[in-house]
Amino acid sequence: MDVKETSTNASPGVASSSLDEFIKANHKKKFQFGIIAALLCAIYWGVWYVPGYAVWEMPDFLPAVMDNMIDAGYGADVTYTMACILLCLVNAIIDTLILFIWNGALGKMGELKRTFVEFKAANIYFVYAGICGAGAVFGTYVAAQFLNPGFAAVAGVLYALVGTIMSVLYLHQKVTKRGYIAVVIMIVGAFVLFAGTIFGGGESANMALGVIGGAMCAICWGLEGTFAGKALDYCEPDCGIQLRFFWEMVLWFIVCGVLAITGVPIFSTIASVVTDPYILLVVILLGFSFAWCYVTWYKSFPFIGVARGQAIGSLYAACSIVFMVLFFGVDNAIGGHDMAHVLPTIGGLIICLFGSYLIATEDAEGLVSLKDDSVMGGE
Amino acid sequence: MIVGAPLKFRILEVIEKKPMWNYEIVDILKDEYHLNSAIGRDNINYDCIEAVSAGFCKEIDWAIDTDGSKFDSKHPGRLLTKYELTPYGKKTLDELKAKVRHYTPE
Repeated sequence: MDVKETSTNASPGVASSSLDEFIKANHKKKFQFGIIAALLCAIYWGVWYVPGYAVWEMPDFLPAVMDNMIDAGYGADVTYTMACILLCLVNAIIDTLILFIWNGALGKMGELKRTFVEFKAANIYFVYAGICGAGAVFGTYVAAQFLNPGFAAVAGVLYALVGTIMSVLYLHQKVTKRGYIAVVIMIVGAFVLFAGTIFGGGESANMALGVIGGAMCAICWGLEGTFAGKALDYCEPDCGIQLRFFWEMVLWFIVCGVLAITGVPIFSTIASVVTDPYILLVVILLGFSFAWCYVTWYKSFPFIGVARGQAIGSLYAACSIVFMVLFFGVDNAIGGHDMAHVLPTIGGLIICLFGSYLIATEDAEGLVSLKDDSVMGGE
Repeated sequence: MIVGAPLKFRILEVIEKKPMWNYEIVDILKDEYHLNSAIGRDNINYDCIEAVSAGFCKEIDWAIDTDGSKFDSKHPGRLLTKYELTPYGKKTLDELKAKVRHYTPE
């Protein structure tokens, strides 16, 4: 959009040049809002790793359910995979509840209902986003267990590459040369960031499962962003994210229900989530961090596009390192406190920050509309 | 007319007939969607901005609401924007009309 087409209706006393500046400032503000939303997403996502890590250390919940499943005759790999499914369900339930309160507080219940009932025109995209999101979260846990947490984090960051490709091919969004370079730099940064954990992570428990989990993580999150980007063209982000978690919750209920019917004691320790205050607190923290991470992620898409939103969101890898170091110490966060672990971490953080700087300083005027001119017609 | 659908659907439909200023869009939709508060007004305005990002409409004119009489009396000096549906927005709106539950041609 060329702002030099300026107004013929400018208010009396307002010079055309000052109106031009006002318009440019307004467009820049919109772009900055999107960047800040994506940065907040990265911070909340990074924070999520703290309760996400702690929940496995609560003996009465996941470790207990795994013991029950082993007692029922299931192998270690299957048991861990089913515990991941249970955690995905709990995560989706708490996110749905928190976002329900969030939408109520924002006065968006009416819009939520309208979006829900328009199934063919709007809600269906959130069904797709929920399924893809479920696959991505599950893939992260699987990759973290069967390869190592560093590989899982890097596989997660690769979603930005999938998202960028899909946003150009499917959503026809503009991505500048600077945007492409920034995405690649941030992925390289994530590889460097986790180099110590990846190469020093010990032997894989089950290489094939780990690789499948990693691929699920990258592909599903990239696809989720694409479906969300499509749906958010027509819908409110706050309502959209609520529906996405609702559908993820439905999916996990079906999966867990089928497992329970076939005799897997998957719900045997579920009561501890509400009876044990520590577990409840960790689950609530899990929900708050993940729900707000997603709210800010979805809010960034309409303002800066899926590719930029996902690329800045991928700073979560760097944020997770920072929060894990703060809460669990250097050894747990990056696998050791020697130079072989610390230097790649610092180098990776700097590279990631440089990538996000490239995106944040893009020219906002070219991004008033995020759609490629070729699909707009009549331009 | 599209009835009971998300707000953005109606924004596209409202500007389909002729280009409109954001405060005109707000005036039409605030009663229909029970968005009479300041937050409701800003929600409609944000949705207009997002519709531009999506490529459904484009900004064709601007003015400054110097005395706050058009848009926000408590915060005069806000930017007013006039929107026009793009051909892509028109194509999308036609697709939405075919998909929504309640659409009656006017």
